[in-house]
Amino acid sequence: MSVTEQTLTVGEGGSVAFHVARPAGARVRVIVLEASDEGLEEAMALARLQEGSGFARQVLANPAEDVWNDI
Amino acid sequence: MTSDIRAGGIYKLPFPFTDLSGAKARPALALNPPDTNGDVRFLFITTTPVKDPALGYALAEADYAGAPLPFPSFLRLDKPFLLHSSLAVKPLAQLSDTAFAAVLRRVIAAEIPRFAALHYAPRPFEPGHTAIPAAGKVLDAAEPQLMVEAALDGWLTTGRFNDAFEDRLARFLGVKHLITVNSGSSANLIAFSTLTSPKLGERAIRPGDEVIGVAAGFPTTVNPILQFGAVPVFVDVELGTYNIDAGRIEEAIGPRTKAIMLAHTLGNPFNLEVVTRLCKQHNLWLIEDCCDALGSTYQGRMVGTFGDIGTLSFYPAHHITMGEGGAVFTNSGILKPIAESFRDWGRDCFCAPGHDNTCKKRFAWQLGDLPAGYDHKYTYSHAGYNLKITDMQAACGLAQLDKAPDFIARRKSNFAFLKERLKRCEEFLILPEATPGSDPSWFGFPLTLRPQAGVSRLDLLRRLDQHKIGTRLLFGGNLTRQPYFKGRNFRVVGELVNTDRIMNDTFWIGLWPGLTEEMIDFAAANIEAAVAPVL
Repeated sequence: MSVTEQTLTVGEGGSVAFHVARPAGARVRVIVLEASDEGLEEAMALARLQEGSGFARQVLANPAEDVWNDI
Repeated sequence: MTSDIRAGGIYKLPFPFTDLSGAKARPALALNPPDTNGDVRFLFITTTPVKDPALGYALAEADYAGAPLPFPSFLRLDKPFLLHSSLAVKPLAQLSDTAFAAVLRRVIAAEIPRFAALHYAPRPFEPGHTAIPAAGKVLDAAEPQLMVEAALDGWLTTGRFNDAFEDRLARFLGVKHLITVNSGSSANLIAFSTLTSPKLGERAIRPGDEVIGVAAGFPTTVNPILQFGAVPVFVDVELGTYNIDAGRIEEAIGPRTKAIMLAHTLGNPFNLEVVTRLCKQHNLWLIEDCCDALGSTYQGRMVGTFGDIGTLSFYPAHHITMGEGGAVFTNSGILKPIAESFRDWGRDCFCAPGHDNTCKKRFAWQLGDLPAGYDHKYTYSHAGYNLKITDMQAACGLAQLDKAPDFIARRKSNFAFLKERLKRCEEFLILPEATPGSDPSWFGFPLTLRPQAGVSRLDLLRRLDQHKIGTRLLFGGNLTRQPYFKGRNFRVVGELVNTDRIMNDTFWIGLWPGLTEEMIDFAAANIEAAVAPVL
């Protein structure tokens, strides 16, 4: 599935609700970050753009660089 | 860890950057702490080496302040990423300040080739519209690279780039000693002043002594003689070579003659065989002004190495440039420190800028009427100047010096092409001739109109100017007829017939390495059409 990102407002008792387009029973990972301001959203959008760059896709994504994953 | 990021720190970042699952990560160097938006410029580090050394920096163990990264690490200098500081997972390492400064230097330098490729690229030649200057400089990325490097050093005055330039240029010329100065004119001033030092005893030039030269040339080959109160003695020149008429020098030598000071006109060596023989016979100093002649040889040897002192200019018009600059060179271990003294305020001390006590007895000298132990750094043996260059100038010169052999070769081939091209105009023009035994590195291509040319020099130069073809006169023409010469003390041997002819009928056009054969051909065609319309 593609990565989904949404900015939500926390409700009573700390609850949030959002729809996930996956069949019932499918396992998904949820990461919660504080959406402090609009700047962060823009920063993530900028990061997404840059991870599509040729250097990121061809050099940084090289499996030989996976040695860095566990440091 | 938004606020903890430090410039020079290496951080673990998620990869892809927005995949916050933590599955993959890459290390990156922070170039700055978070800005007001929380953004940081990062350089990523890979284990894969970078092929182009200008674009990569291999981190060594000594580059870290603390524990190094555990794998071979290559910084990708030309791929900065702007990422939010909140993406950083944790710090991995920290570069030392020295290593981080070295990385920042490389980052700054990495942009220069892109700028140079755009800014210094030759433009297409459009005849009649594109200027064909008589002189110019040829630059690429190498000059700004080294100049920026020198500027970042923050040393500013003569420093490591100057040391390297002086050393390499001395080896290029084949001389023992060479010092830089801030212009070719300053080089001539220092060269002449050196020969006035009381340290030379009876051989020192004194006010009223005579120095043989020519009036067809640049004023600052002669001005140091006048400024000191010595007397220039002018001998006529030859047309074609535009150098001193060597056969007439002997009659110029008198009881007060102390030196001969001559330029190798437009790069064409003067008759060194005769001049050096006369200097030896009459115990005369010889100053060779090589400002227009870097790379010219006589009997296979570089000009400037025959006399006692040689001089060079690095103004942008010259063979190599540093903007403003020059050099004085000699094989004499006696003359070198005197020249250096005149350049450096006249001081007796010979410490390089920023250094003290090179002589190891800074407070142990007793000179002049000063008290014993007076600081050698502030002891002055000459009425000197401060004519040093900056290290940025030296850096530019160093880059140019790499290109000097190619520049010289192109000047020679441009000369050969133009001479061949104008051969059929010889009935109307005196074409330049290399002095026998010489191989000139021509500065320009001198031409003298013969009486049968169908045009005056003024009309010809105006016509060439309309076609954007740059011209220059042979500098001062006849210096004795310049306004500043009124009332000066000088002597003329015989008559300056050819010098006057040069003043009236001679000009030169460019041969510098930025000119193409197409440009030179266009210039030649316009000259030909003006002087010999029937050809």
